[in-house]
Amino acid sequence: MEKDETQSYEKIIFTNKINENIHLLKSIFKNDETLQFRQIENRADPSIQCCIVYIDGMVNNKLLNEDIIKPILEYRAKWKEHDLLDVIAKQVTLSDSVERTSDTETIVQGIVYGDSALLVEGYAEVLILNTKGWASRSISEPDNEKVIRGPREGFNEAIMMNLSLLRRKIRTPDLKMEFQVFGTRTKTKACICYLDSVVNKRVLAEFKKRLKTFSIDGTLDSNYISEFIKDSPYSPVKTIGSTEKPDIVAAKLLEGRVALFLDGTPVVLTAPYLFVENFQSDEDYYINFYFSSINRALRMIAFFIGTSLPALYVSLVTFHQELLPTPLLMSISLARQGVPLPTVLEAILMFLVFEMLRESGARMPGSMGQALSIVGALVIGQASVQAKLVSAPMVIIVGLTGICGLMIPRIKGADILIRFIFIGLSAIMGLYGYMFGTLGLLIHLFSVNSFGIPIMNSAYANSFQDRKDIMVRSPWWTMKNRPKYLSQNKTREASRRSTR
Amino acid sequence: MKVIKSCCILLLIMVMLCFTGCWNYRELDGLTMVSGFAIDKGEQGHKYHLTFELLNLAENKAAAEQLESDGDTIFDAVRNAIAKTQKKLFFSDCNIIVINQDIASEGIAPLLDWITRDTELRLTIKPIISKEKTAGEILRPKPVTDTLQSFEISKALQLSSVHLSKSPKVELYEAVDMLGGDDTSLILPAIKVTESNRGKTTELDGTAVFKKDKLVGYLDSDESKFLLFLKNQISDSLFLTNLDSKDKNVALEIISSQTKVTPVILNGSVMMNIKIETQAAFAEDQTAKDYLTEDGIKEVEKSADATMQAGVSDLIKKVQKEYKSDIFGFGASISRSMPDWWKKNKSSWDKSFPSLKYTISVDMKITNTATAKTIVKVGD
Repeated sequence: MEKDETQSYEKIIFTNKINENIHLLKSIFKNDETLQFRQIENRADPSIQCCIVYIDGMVNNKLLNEDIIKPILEYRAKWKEHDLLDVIAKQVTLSDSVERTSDTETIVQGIVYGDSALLVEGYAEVLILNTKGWASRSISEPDNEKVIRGPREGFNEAIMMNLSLLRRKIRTPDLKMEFQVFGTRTKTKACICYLDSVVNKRVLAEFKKRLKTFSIDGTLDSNYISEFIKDSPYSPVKTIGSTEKPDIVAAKLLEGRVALFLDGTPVVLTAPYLFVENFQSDEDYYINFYFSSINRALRMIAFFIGTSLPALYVSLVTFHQELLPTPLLMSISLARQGVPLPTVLEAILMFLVFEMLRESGARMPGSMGQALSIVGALVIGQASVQAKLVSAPMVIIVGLTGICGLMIPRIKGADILIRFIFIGLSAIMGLYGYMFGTLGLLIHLFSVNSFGIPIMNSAYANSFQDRKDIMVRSPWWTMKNRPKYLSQNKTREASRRSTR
Repeated sequence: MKVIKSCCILLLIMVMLCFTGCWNYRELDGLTMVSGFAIDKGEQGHKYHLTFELLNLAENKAAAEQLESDGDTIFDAVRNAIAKTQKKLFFSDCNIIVINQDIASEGIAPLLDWITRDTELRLTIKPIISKEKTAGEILRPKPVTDTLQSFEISKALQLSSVHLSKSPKVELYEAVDMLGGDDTSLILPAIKVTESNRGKTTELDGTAVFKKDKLVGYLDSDESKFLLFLKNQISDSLFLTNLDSKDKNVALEIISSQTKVTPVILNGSVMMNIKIETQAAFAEDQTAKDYLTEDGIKEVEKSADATMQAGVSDLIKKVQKEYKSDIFGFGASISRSMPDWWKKNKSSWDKSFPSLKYTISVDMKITNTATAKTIVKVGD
């Protein structure tokens, strides 16, 4: 029912009277006062009457004035024997892309996307001239994917600019870019990128198939699409990757993955997404492999601590006191003297506070950071321990767990969820419950696929080539194969070439 | 179908919840840690009188606290303690049990039953025999370096078994093994209270000797050392011997020691061949003579051999005569190397042990002299 009202302009047919056409466009864009009509006449031959229609703010005004209006005004050649519209398109305007059409839908889409429509008296057809020019953010380093060494540029919100960033990294016609439009109302442009000779054809086919399975009125961020097409959508673990950095996208494409760019967001989706990618950072590949292996091990330990430490603490302190070494038991029970809450509630409460601090840190204006850290460290940390509201070991546990959780931002959401589930299980059943949770998590992880590839495919690696980039980052010259199952074109040719 | 499947899975999970064994939710605040306890004869009609040493966490610091309680059984006395404290006693970190010598001479087995049976108490807990009038006295002195007297005694036992070797270190499971077996008799460390500059202090004092589960007597510190040599439990202690003097004036630091006890049948009766091989360092020399020559070292070795020979022989004689209890584990070594003979004769082992023959050979080797090349010389 709603559809008829807005899509009715498709039935409108343009006439060869310019004023009627202007009227038609005005009726399509009723109440839209950003739509501009600029009527012009050729100085030498006033019978050449044109009207340029564009949306204010979407076009590059300088370009419009100098490359389209000015040439038409000053055109002096003979044209009578030719088709005027053709002459204007070919000889007069300086636009890089000119499309001649009478299709109302195309015209309207062109206008709303920043092109100008040139109406000419006597023609029912219209020239669509590329005059796009809107302000976009400059290329900057993404805040959540910072590196110390390596490329720092990040995507912005303009898809063509993003694609150019990628193209600059992979200069080969093998890099395919296929456009598609999402959003019945927003008409957002998207681009599927892959390396034709490297990509896993089955993954690509599945990816394209899933993109056709849904319909939504608008896609403002790539997550709109991601949630529609990902495997195990209810799972806390990611099955589709996202990044804001062209170098990461390029690396994923070279490993045989598919990328999806969406206009209006700097976040690019990549698929398939393996579990180990949560622990990989682009910087791993830019720095010394010993150092990056240490970093990777730290991230895996951080995942363990981030999910398990509070659960282990709760189960040890409330169920298995005999497993604590005597001095530790003494200091923990000393610290717990006079604390009113049971350990479990203490843990849950402190984690709620920590997550609140984290969330307010992400949302609040940057100038208030100082206040937050004072409140966090002094009021919640020190004062609450002194006031005996929480015990000091719990503050340490929460602090350590929180830091470890922040160390692996790609799996942050899952980390928090798993942590609370584990705490709950530990509070009911002690270590037994914790083991229950761990086994459940493992069973779940091993059952999840991403576009036909098991996300834990690296866990049952049995050759060096399968293991080279999991727990450690091997030196580049040993990375001879692409990751398991990701590409039929396995060989990566990272071997050393003889210099002779 | 899907519903049935998920119901089955849910049911399986719920069944699994029942397989948890022994567990319970207990907050730390509701527990009070027992570091050790002493068992005495009961008062007021009760059979046992227990003295617990507790960790007192009031006033925000760890301190020792004694709590006494009576009961008809050990467990009864433990539960009766709840009436005197608001918290439940927690035994997982309990390190020692001090046992009154009077109770021990009546039989120690009934005391150990609950201690080995209960889930909280560890099998590595160390039973000790108190030489004082009551066992509770042992827990009362203020510890020298620790907060809790029990921990100090436990650590002293641990350390002395390595560096001092004047009392045996026996953990509960070993004691139960010795008690249950018919080839080795039980020994336990003994402890007493001494007066010192800082008031009363506890001190490990030799070995308590049992026959079956009854205390029959004690060995002093020196005898205990030879006992440990015989039981091959020496690692890093000192061995004193005398040269040109009646007093012990040379100290050897043992590097390693190996004792082999092999039974042989001689004229129808069994005889023990005891072979002690010890490597030691020449650690202290109080004599005026410099023994650090090849001949001198040999002389020291010879003297040490003789001391050892005499000490071990005296000890075996004393135990055979006074206690008639095979604390050396001779029976165990026979049952290992001559199982058939042992099967036939183990019922009469009690009677044959006091007249058991043995030979002792000692091989003491001095392998180094620490950092000195001569003795400290006095100038003319």
